[in-house]
Amino acid sequence: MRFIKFKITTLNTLRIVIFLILIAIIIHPLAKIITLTSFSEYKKLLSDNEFKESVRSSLLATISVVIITVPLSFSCAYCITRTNVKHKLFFSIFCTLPLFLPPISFGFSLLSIFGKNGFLYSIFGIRIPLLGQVGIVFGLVLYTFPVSFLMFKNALQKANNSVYESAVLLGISSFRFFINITLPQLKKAIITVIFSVIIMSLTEYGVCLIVGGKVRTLSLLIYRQVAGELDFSTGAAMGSILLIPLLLLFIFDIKFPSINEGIIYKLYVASKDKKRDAISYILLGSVSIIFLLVILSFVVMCFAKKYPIDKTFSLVNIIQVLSPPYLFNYINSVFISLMVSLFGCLLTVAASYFACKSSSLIWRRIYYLLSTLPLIVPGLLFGIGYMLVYSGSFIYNTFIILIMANIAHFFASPFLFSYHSFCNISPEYEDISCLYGISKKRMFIDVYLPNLRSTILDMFFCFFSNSMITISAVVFLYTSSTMPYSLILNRFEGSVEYLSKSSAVSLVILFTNLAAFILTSYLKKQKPLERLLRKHKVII
Amino acid sequence: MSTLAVENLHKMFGQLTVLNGISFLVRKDEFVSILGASGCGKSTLLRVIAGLESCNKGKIIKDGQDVTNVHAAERNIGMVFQNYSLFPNMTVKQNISYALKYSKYKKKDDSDLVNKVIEKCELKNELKKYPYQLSGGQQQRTAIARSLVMSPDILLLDEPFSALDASLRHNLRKLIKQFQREFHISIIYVTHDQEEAFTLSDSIVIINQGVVEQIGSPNEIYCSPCNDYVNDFTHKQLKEKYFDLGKIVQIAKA
Repeated sequence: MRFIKFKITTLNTLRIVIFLILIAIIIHPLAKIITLTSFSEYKKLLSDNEFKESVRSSLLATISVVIITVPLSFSCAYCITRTNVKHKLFFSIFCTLPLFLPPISFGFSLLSIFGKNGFLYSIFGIRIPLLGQVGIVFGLVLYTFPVSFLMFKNALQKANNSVYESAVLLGISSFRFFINITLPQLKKAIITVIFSVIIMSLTEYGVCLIVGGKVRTLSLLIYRQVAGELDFSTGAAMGSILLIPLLLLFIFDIKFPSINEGIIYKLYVASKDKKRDAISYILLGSVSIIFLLVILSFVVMCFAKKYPIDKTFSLVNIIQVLSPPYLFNYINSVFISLMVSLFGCLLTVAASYFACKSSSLIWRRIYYLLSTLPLIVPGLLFGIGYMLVYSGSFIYNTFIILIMANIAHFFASPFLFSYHSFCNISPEYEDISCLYGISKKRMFIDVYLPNLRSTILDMFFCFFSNSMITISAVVFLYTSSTMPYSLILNRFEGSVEYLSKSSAVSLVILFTNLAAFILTSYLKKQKPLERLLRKHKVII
Repeated sequence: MSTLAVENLHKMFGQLTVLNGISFLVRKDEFVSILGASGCGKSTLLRVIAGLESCNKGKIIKDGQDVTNVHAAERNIGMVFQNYSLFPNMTVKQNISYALKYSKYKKKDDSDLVNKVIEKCELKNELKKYPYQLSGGQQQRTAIARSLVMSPDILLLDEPFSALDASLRHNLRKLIKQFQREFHISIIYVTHDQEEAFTLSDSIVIINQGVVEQIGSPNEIYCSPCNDYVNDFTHKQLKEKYFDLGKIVQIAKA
């Protein structure tokens, strides 16, 4: 059987190599933590009232966030992709802006708007009891909205648009079409988004730390247990409970596998409807104003000399956070983020290829489970795992361990982008490659890669921006020479310039990510990959 | 120019038997249609012949040589898919010449043949267009051209016109017959449409649930169906569409 041998020599080697890399960067550190957990830890947890209270608070916050974020982000994504609303790029940027900020920054922003000396009180005299459950929900909505929005936008853009043309011809009303066709078509995307929002809300602790008040969420309890009390075994036992949603997502994915629909040639063209566009404009405008307020709060705090004590205009904060020694931290962060994006993209594309295109169902499941596992694992657990596994090795105290931890921590979302794109590519291309003896490498470069161009750029940006803003995955792994920029946010705690300096750092991170976003959006329009391929005569 | 013999072919997917001892012969320059209801195993049979699926039992003999275990690319068999499967990031010209350029087994870039195929497929004015800029008929002609430039001995067509309208189907049928004559290739054409099978074929293989029910010329199949299934399957639809065999023969001649 010559053609079976052909597959073994080329694909299996790479498949096993990538599998081993994933084991090393994802499973090994987590396994190390789990081996520290014993059954008695779980028993102890179940009788612990503080733990039960934290689970209750987490669940309450998570349910509230899902109820707010999912419909809101879906509506915004729908308005962007299915209407002729003006200033789409502008609104898209604003709906994605929170993605560019460390989650902990939302806490600062909410404090400055709703806090004791906040804008709302000083201008309108209104005081909202922010600290506690309300603050957590508000902060988590800001944190989860952009990811949810991007996932919906992606799903709506990739939906089979030929159906829409048929419906128009059949005279089906827009409302009926939305209920009977659009929503069922996006069922899988909607459920995936709900799971993602649940997982993000359950695992985020930065927001809860700043605006949680006396409320202790599960993630916060883990953070306190591990970072404060260095009780790794209890922290690990609590963390392993967070794996339950991943299990549910996995079962769901087996029950509802992706349907290979082939590449859709026709883009959706929205019909003329001024009323619909006007409503969309109001919705997108309102959401944008909320995010604009968040950004404005940073600007005000950053350019005030010592907010809230001295509100006179000054550039001293921004100059200080961009001068040595902080400048070196900034350079570290950009370097780490670029390396994470580059190697992360290579690894996720390979993993998603095997998760989607492997002929063996077992390999497909293994790759899917391995790659989506980081979605639920709090970055903190990765940080501890890496510390336990790699301390003493040559990569410890170097940039390599920071890059590895970041790739592992942020692996799942870019993986899912790439996985869904691969599943949407017609399986008949593989038949063509087999039938005409075109190597898989050739097909990958000439056909798959150009068709994944837009997705790869999204993945690159996702890795980059997450690495710029992360604190949790790297908090135990840095040295004074490799310290990333986002970590200096914690350094100012307790000082008089706390809010001003933190806002300045948040703004620098925001603008760096914004620049990366604009660059990737520009590259998506320019089709640089195809140009590059043609230049090197890959496709003549 | 080639002959192909399929001998006692069995294919199973788990416990499900899809092909259960299929045997038939395709002679040089012959147009053979595999006719059967949806889900009877036609497409699987075509994929096994192409080498895209392995078989559990049986042989595929091409020009006297057993090619059952030969890699698909070494069989020199072309295939046109139902969904065209054109590369969306490539122009018509790139789609047509891509396999020819990068095939491991056919390194020769025959520009004369490419130009001839492009001309015959009436794609001269569409060369710089991308698939999404083409009509359904043009996309299908591009897919056929992509297969023809590889100079296959045998061309497999898997319900290639099922997504096209009646007049386009009629034109493309004529085009396929023309290609068969000009390029001297044998064609195996999978369809569930009796009209297509009767108007195009030299020989028809009727399959039902993975088993060959009857093999014969359109005339034999129509006039002497070997059992009730063949009789029902071939006559019902045709009788609804056409009054008598004479009409079918007229269409075939056209």
